Amino acid sequence: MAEPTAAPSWLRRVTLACLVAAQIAVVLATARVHPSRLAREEWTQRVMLDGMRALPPAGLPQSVGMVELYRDGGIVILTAGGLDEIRIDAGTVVRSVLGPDTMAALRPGLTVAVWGLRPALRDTVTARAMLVL
Amino acid sequence: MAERASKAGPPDAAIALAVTVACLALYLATLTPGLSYLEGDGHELTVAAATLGVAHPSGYPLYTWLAHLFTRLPVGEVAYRTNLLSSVAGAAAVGTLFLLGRAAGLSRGPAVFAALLFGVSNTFWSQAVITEVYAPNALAMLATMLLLVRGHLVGAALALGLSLGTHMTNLTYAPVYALFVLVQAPGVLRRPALLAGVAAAFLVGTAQFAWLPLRAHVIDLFPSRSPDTWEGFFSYTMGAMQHSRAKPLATQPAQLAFYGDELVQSFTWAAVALGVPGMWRLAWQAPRAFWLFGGVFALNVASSLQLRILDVDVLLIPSHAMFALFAGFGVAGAYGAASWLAPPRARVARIAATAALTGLLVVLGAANFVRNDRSGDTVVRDFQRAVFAGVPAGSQIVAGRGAFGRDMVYARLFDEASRDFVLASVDRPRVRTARRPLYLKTRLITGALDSRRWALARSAMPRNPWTVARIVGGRSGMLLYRVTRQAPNLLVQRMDAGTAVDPAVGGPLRGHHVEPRATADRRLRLTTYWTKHERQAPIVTLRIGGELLTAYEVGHGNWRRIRGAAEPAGTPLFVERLDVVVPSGLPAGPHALDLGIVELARNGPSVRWIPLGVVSLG
Repeated sequence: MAEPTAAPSWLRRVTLACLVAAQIAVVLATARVHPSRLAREEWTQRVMLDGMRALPPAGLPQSVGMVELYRDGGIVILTAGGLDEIRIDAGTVVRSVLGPDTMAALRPGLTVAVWGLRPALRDTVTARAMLVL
Repeated sequence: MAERASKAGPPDAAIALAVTVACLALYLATLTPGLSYLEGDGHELTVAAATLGVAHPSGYPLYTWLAHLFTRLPVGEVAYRTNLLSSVAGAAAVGTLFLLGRAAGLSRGPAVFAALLFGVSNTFWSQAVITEVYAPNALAMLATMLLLVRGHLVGAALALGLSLGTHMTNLTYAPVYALFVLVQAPGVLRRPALLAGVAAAFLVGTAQFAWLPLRAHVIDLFPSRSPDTWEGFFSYTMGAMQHSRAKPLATQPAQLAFYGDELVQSFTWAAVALGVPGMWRLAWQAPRAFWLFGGVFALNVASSLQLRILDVDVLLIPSHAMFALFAGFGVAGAYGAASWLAPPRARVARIAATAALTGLLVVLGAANFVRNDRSGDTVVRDFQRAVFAGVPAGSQIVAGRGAFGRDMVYARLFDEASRDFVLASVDRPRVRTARRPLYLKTRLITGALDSRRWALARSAMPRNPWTVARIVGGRSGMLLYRVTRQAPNLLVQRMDAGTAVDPAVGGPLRGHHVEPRATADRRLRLTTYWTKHERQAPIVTLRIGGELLTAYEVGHGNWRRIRGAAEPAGTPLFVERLDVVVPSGLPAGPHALDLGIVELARNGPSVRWIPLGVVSLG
């Protein structure tokens, strides 16, 4: 293959314009997705099941895994990437595909999808809503 | 391609080696010592490598061969050796990324930063310490790109063909590669001999898939169709991504938001903030290289997010490698901006920037070291040792069919203790099993005992069997049940002598007994007695020495079923006798054992701890 040659200025301009346009489009598109802002009553089983397929308004869950351990105020789930600690409080919405829509649905070994806040560098999710599958 | 000449001479090779060794040291320090409870595919890949068999679709022939070579190393157990392949290949991928950054025009400092940023990122690190295809695949993909950028077209074509044996998704990038070559060197279209060489090299690389029909008979490929017919072969290879569906455009924002979260998780906000302007710099400085890296980045993100799988994060590793390069260009831009200052201030700014970037790598590396440290993951090994010591010799142990039961196949291949048992997933065709005690290894959620997933003929499994948990390991799936035709005696009128009575008045736990010394294979023999007033079985969690061990429902599925059986007169107690496996990493000596009863209240779970006593570990 030939040695590299200097790129023509039109190529630089077109490339940069395409990139900036794509980045603006991504920012505008994702700005419309605010699963954390959904009101409690909007977290229905249907919304969550759609979210599992990446459909708005819930979108993909922050964590999916099997219920492994329990702590005060939370559970530990086994995900494909390791153990995630899920913090749960009275504001957490729990929905269940087969069981009751209460905290009692969080039985050992069942798979749960969790939407919430995941801070960087930590395997912790503060759960906004959970779907027991 | 680079806008300024940049060749990897000895100094670059030495730096690449140093970066590789540094990351290898991190990965080795956190490497899983054997089979990992995290990754069922790892069990299957290890067995496929050891037996030179065929892994799950798309078959991964190149990976299987490389892993087989590692199984020959005289270090650790066989699963450790295949884990080691991930570490070595992962570290080499980091060094290759450095060379790719240099070939694309990055100066040494930013290229080192980009490589190390990728090396200590969370998702990639997680795959460099277990048996999986993603770290070797990162090496294969980056090597292909490096050859391409350096202009070795025939070598790049061969590498691309070979890389399909570490992951079929590498084929996705072929159009970007082709476009890059056409933009970079359109003259290749007038060189038919070169084009023929490229095509031939690619075909030579893909010829590895002839391995699949040749070796399909070696192991049970359930649930996949055998690739020994044309239709089966196509389904096994190109059809491996058939669970992919084109999602509606309306899903794109949510998927991109998910990816943004994934980027921040892997790199931190600071690195993401470097990567975005880094894209601008690359687009302006080296637009051809941008279309190559950006194209691979965009194709990987778009195609991975289309898949209907739960562990999509690992498929995004190629895009993470590209983003790390973008961050490297962002760093180069920051250094360049410093030169606008007066010389003394510019020097201070560069020193401050270097310190900040080093700090970022240290913080990210330290956090991800903790998150990905699997050096204490002995769950599978501990459980298997407990099973082979705790089950009567001659018993039959049933695991899942095909890929679901490979941990037991591994035990048969490499654990002498397993020879005393019939393992249904291995010995089924050869051994009479009807009169042997029957055990089942897995966690039963739905009780689907007679499904095709079990490595046992339906006729050999009792109808409507009872399954009573006997050995409880450290994680999901680490459960051994005794299978019987007759209903087990799980209701008793009185507790055994020596049972401690639970002092908590009104609680469901009425009494418990634990042997004060663990067995030599580290099983704790625990008996608990429960009142059966509640419809739902209590949820129990155990901890030893302050470390959480496991959680389960009392009765393991029998709590409600036993209600319908004939009950003795009076108010019986539900009894559960379990062997609980203690991690081998826990130091010998006395440890406090506690049982927690989990309350699932409206404001979240709470655990009421009951001390069971002090147990001694040998």
